[in-house]
Amino acid sequence: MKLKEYQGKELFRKYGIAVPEGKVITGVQEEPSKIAKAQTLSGKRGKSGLIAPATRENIEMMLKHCSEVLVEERLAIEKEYYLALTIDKEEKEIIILFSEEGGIEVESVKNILKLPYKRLNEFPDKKFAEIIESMHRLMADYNALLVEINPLAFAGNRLIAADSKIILDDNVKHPEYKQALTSLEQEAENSGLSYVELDGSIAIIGNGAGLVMATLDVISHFGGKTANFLDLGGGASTEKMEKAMDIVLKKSPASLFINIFGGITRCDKIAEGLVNYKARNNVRIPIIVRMIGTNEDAAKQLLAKNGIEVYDSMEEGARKAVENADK
Amino acid sequence: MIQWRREQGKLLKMLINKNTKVIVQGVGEQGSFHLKLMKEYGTKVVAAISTSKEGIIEGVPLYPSVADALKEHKADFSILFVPAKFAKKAALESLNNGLNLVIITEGIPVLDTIEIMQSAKEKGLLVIGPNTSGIIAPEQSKIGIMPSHIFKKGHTAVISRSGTLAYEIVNQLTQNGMGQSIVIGIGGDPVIGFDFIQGLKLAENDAETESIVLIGEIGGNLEEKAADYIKNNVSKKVVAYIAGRVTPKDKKMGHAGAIIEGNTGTADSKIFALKQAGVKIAELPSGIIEFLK
Repeated sequence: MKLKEYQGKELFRKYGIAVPEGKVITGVQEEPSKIAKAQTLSGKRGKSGLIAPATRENIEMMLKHCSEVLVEERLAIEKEYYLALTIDKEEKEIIILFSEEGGIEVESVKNILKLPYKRLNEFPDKKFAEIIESMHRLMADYNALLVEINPLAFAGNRLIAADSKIILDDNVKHPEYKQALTSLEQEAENSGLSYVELDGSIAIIGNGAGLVMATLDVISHFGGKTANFLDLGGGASTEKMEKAMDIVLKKSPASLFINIFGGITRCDKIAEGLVNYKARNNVRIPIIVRMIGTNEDAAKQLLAKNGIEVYDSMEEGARKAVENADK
Repeated sequence: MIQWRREQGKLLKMLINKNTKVIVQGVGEQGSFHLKLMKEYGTKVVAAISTSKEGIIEGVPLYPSVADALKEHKADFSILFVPAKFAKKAALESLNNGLNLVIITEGIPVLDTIEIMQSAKEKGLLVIGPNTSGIIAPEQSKIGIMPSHIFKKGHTAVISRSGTLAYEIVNQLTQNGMGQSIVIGIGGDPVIGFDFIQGLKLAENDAETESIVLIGEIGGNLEEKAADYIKNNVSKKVVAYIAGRVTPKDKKMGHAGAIIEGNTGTADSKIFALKQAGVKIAELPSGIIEFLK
């Protein structure tokens, strides 16, 4: 997950990296001599007016895009650099990225220096060594996959982080990670389920990230749009399936497609969860089930007894889910 | 016969066959369940490691450490079920004792993974995963958690980032009479060891393999690099399916590695690169079968 600029700067401060004086506001407070920066996660803020003098007009506009605006002192910048620590996925090591041309999109930065962190002593300019070491400590302590300062400004005879971009490892559950989730996403997270909200009409429950992504694609292929999807993960229990039903149906979808390929996951457990949930709740939308793999016979018997039809093919099931959502 | 050829050394190694000897690290609920299923499939599981349990599990002797197990048994691979927090220590223990690894564990911090990979690189050992379903040579041996009954021996190699999506496609292959020479799950994490290129190299050089199925997904650039490699190095037929075409940006899609950041890692970029390399791209999973017919 990405941290917002001010969250990243708080970490910089904690690790002894200089940042501009500033404060976060959530309502309009004019200070035209200062600079206002909308705390969105998208890049290219400068081009869309999301970094501009802290006038009433500008701040009002920014608050339409996000809930927080960072208001900072202006820096008398003499030179801008690009500096980042990240993971080289090919060499599987931490690398330093550096350029004398900071402040622009990294993709367009030319003359970029790439150096493995373990060879920091070969870094050409010693004045950056201390900042790089601080960035490395931050990276290790917070399990960051990217710590980027762009630009790293030289102003008033010191190096100062004029911006921050930090991406944390999703394999490690940081407190910041939960904050970025919607309330239903948090509820799923707490139950060990992986749930993502989208904006269509068909709800999806599946097992395994790849299969769930493919299910979304197949739904779209047949002209449907997905309301949300929930990945049960491996080896889900009856109770987990009931919880999953509860979560995906809260967004009032037009139909629900359950796509299970049982490996570690046992189809009969999933079927039981579905039947239990239906018995206790008034489910009015069509439920389309595709289920094969471990214990599929027991699952199919149970579902047939409860009047739920089961498809063997995921493509057939998806087509049916789209048809039903259109009704 | 499938062989693993080291990049620099001269030693030729079997990736997996009926003689591959395996140690299981972590015999909690999942570890002991899959130890049993691997044995039933015919995998030579020679020992299991547990710091808390003793004795014999499913006919396999338990040892407190990898070094202790290797005093009594020879082994080629260790399969890891150890929880994410302790996975680095367990993985390094196996690598230090000269074992290749299949890491099933999900959620290992990426900074731990890179330490594991550095150690493997120094020692010239192989790491499959993390967050993988493992590898299987149908009707010979499996080091993994995949449902055995859907696999059938044959001439198609399958290399996939996702486990369940590989099952989906393998099941369709088998139902259509197309067996598999080897199925490799490379794992869904942002940093993995064995990747598409190594899989392609293996399949290209394997006499049993006639065609190759590549199952990719959004995030990272492994598929683009595979496309580059295919252009100059692969003569066998390659067909591919890429999951995540309609996935929104910046949303984590279950796999930590499956995330579109900025303009990199999109399905379009992967499909474009693979098409340029002459790879046929299936629109739906079932399209793979049509292309192989």
